[in-house]
Amino acid sequence: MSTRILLAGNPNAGKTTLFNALTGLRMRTGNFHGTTVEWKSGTLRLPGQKSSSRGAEPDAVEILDLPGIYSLKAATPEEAVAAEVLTGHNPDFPTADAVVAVVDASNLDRNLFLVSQLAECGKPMILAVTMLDVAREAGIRVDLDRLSERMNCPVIPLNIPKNQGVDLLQDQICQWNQMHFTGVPLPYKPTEESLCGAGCSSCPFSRRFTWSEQLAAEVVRTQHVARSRSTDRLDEVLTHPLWGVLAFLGVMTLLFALIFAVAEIPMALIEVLFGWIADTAATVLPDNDFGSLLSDGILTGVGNVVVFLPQILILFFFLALLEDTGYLSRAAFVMDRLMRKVGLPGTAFVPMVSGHACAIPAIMSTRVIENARDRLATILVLPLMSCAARIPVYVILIRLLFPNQPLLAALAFTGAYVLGVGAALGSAYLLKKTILPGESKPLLLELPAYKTPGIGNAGMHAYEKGLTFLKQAGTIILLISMALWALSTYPKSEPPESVLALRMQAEQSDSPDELLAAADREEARHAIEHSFAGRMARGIEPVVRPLGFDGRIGLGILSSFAAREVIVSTLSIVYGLGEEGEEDEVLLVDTLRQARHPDGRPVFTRPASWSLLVFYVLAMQCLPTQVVTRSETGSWKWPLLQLGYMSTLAYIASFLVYQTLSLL
Amino acid sequence: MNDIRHTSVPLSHLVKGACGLICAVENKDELARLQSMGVCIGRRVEVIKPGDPLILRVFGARIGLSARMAEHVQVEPCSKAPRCWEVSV
Repeated sequence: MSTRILLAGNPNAGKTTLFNALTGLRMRTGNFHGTTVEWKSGTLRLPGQKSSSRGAEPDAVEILDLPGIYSLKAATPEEAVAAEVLTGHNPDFPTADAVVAVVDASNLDRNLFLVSQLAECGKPMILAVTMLDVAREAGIRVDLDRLSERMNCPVIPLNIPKNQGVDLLQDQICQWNQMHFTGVPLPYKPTEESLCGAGCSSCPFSRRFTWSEQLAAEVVRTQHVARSRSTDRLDEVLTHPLWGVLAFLGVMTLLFALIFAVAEIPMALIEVLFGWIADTAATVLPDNDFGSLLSDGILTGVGNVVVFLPQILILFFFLALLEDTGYLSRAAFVMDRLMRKVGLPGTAFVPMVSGHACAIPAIMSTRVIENARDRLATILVLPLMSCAARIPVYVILIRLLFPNQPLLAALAFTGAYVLGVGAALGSAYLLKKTILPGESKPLLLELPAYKTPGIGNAGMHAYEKGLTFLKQAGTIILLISMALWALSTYPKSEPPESVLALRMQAEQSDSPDELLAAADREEARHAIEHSFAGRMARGIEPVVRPLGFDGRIGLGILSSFAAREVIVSTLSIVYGLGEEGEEDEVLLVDTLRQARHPDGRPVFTRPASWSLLVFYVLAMQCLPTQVVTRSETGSWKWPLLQLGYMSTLAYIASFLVYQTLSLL
Repeated sequence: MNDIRHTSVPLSHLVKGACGLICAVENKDELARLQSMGVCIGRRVEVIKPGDPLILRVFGARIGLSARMAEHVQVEPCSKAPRCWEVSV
């Protein structure tokens, strides 16, 4: 049986950095059963072993990274889970052999408080002391020998960026069963009750605080006291009710612009690459259902999954950097007062801004929100933010509405974004008044000292999130893409007369290419209109008619469930431009403007275009987002609610817009 | 209880730089969260920045705390709260 070592410590004590240094890339992640608390487990990298050699050796040492906590009082899900694991009551990790307690030397008394609780659990313990350089700068020297003597356990000083002490700690961990552990001498008796976070009648907290303060006082030698003035000065600005909010908006705009600008390159590359693979596959594979399934169904589906990765990686990389600097808790601090008015906590703001790039990483980033109610409310309203996939749709519709009027077009664009944000805040308020009653959890968080972030950690964090996405959502998104492909492909229909006529003409013509292309476009149009999706669209036509839409727009809306921007290529196909029509925006807009109902009225009138624009701002049309909502909330109930309320909202709003504008 | 009431004030009433000794935490719902962060009877706190939310120094860390919660923490105003080792050395 392998050994399991727990890594425990306060948030911001350097636990993640240590975990990465100890295990490298040899790790797995997941959620503790029945919670959204994440665990990370890795195999200890032994000296001389390559980090790439995978596989569980019989004598492997597993390192389990517990969530960062301040105590074992079970006040938060993180603390509850940590207490369970330490006492052997966790179903996922029923045993634990020893504890490595990560202790921040610059804040020893507070960190020792948690250590006192860890010690009460009676497991062999090693103290890993981090941030010694930060402490030294602040004039604090820690007598490590004395600490080791008083704690009755090994104490290892670490400087992970300089790779000092990690080898020593690894050796110590490997010898854990040779440690003659007799327990940490605590001046108070850990009773059954106080052990690992049970109730507190005569406040063992106070005794633990006193113990940790006394111990810290005993082992700390100070030359001069230099409180972190720079942090206080920065905080003057960054937590100011006005300047703080402005600074935060600036930082988020920058982050948002970065995600947009940087992610576009790999996303375009992925789309080109998968398009090329699919095209190549189409020429190699037999021209039958199987070939079509492989190239159009599976390959496109895989592309639909992978295309989210750049945004996920970039967002989490920069968020981890920001968090590491200590800034993110200030952001939550300044936004808390404003967000609380609609029943959301300050921590919800960063995910909500990120939602403007893509709802999927944004929903994944709501894990920073401590309270389950607040987190759920945030997830439910997040897809109302105008994500990047809506932009191509906005562009087409706004061009239809305001040709050659750049100022009005820009205003309409801004209006679409404002409508999304307003709808999200309004919905959050309604949720608070209805199914998710109560106030958001009042703010209580540590504002750590500012420091330079670690690039490596941020990279690891992004990598983990990417893996989580592929594992938890990838397969389902792939299946959904395939199902949508099948809906728009089957049943197959015979090419209509007009296509055959065009092909006949082409055979007799000197320049047949154009005629053949026209025949292909006509065939594609006919095929999709006679597919299941096309039939469904005709079925929903009476439902969408009050919004000013016809069956073709209905088909576009249905096809959008794979990804919102798909409506552009669908419209391009149903209006006879073929799949490539979406690349020529001007041509597509012109074609749409010429589009007529059977009775000769134009399809894309002003009321109908406005109505469709509002519909795209508000409707929940992204199945991948729904899959991620499911994996983050643990139940299909919430994505269904999301789909239900957003569709209702979109329908009512579009109805009002269309009917009102038609009257004018 | 009565004499505590006479000398104690809600934490949210302290001005910038003022210190207090916590003598009661009346917020039952958030008691555990507050205790974990060191806002617990017998601890000294210093207000770094009053307002809503406010910033405290307690037990060696800066804590951001909503005024709503600070109203339910009773403190006795006291002299500056030095770090533990600053008194002992």
